[in-house]
Amino acid sequence: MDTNLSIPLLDILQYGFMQRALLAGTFIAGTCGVLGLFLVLRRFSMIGDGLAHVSFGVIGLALFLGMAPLQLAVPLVVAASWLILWLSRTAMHGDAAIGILSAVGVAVGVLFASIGGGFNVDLFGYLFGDILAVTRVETIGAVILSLLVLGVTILFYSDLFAVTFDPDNARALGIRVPLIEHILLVAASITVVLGIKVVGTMLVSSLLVFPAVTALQVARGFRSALILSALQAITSVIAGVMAAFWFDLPAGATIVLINLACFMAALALSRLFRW
Amino acid sequence: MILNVHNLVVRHQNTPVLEGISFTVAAGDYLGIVGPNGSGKTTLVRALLGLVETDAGTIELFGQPQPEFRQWNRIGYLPQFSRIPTHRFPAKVHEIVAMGLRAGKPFPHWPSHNDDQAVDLTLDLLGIADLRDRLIGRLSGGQRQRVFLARALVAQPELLILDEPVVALDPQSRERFYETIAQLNRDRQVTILMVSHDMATMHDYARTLLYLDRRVVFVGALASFCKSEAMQTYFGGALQHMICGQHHGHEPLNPPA
Repeated sequence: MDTNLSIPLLDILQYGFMQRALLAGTFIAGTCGVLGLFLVLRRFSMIGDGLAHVSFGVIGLALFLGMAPLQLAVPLVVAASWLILWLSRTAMHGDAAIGILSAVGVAVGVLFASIGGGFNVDLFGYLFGDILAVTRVETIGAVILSLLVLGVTILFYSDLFAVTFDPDNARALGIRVPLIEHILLVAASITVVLGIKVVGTMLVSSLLVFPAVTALQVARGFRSALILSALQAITSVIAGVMAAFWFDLPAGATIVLINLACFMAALALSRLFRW
Repeated sequence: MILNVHNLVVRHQNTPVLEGISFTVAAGDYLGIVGPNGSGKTTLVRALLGLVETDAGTIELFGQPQPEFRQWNRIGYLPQFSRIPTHRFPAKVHEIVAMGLRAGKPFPHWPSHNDDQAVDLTLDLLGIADLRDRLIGRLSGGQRQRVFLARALVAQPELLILDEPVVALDPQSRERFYETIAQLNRDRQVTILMVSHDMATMHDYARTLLYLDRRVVFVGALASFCKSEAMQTYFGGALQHMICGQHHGHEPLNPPA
């Protein structure tokens, strides 16, 4: 196994690609941690998975058309999230709507990849993430979009909290629940698209779900759960990026497995101390 | 009048759930809404709050048509079941109670020091200040229901709507809960609209009764309930024997299901 363990930490941090990976990864992970808690508690966990599969289709289409994948992905994934919400209210259960959109997303992606001459390196990078290859423009975009999502979350915190806890009661408090749900899904869509660069379409939902369920094992209050979830996501991404560099491992898969280890530790702690 | 319902009709997939419901509630009243299972009690409450679509009729809250009503801080609502999404929901009691302060506030709502004080005062009022920092998922059904009552009261509403709030409580907790509501009505002049299956309790606490069976069978002062011709016709002999005749404050007075 090739390793880069001989390279000192300070030298690693001077590499431009590592700086970009850590900066973009930290902001994206923090956003995933915060949004993930609302999605998990609202029982929208699987929507991250569904939207990631839709993203795969959109990326396949964008690569086929020679367009910038992530720019096309944001509006189309937002539209898909609203379609899931509409279908779940009018025609079927939410999980069925997510299943349908997921299948269509993957089918579209495979179709365009096939027409375009099979799976190429670009599409493989989007499937499993390539945080170490994130460009300067992508880093700036990730930071801006992450700040936007976090800003909206802070602005709508009271409403998001009330809707997550009990949508019916939130309506009785005069909160416009459909508007808040649409905002949550827009934020989730942007977060999923951003997360694709870190862990890829196949694994992005784990970055939404793992930190949230880990925080839920040990948190003592909603705000502390949000902070713990964000911190755990950030820690896993930083540790994953470093481990990927040192041991020449795929960053996305490493991040997911670090998340699993954190969850197992939190679960053990909560059982041990009966939290 | 703080509530005025006129000719309200609600249908569910073309099946009428409520037909031509009309009644009013004056400030300071204690209205008990009773009726058999499936009589539309919960649907009526949800219609008042705008949680279900209505098919005809009008609802006025504090003199304003319900669709235009925005002062939700004037109404506290306690639903039938103290549902929480998961027992692992990480919210503390004071966070849940503070949620009630969102009602009627302009966007964006930032929690303030005054909010903390309002929460603490409400917890004190209900005698649950010791639960302030406990997680909601770790409370018993009775404690949880008192926390949700605190959430409904924290904005100091003028009208409190309760939909069978004691179904999950043991008899002792029920009695304590009803006493608290009566005290709010008596001492703080909070208008109460209580949906209940328990005719005996409504007999003890309510001043006005609305007997619902998809339509209004009876609405009026409690004193005239047992003498009402409509109720005599509706229940026949059972009215005296099962509901009115044996009531001495101890016997159960529940209508036949």
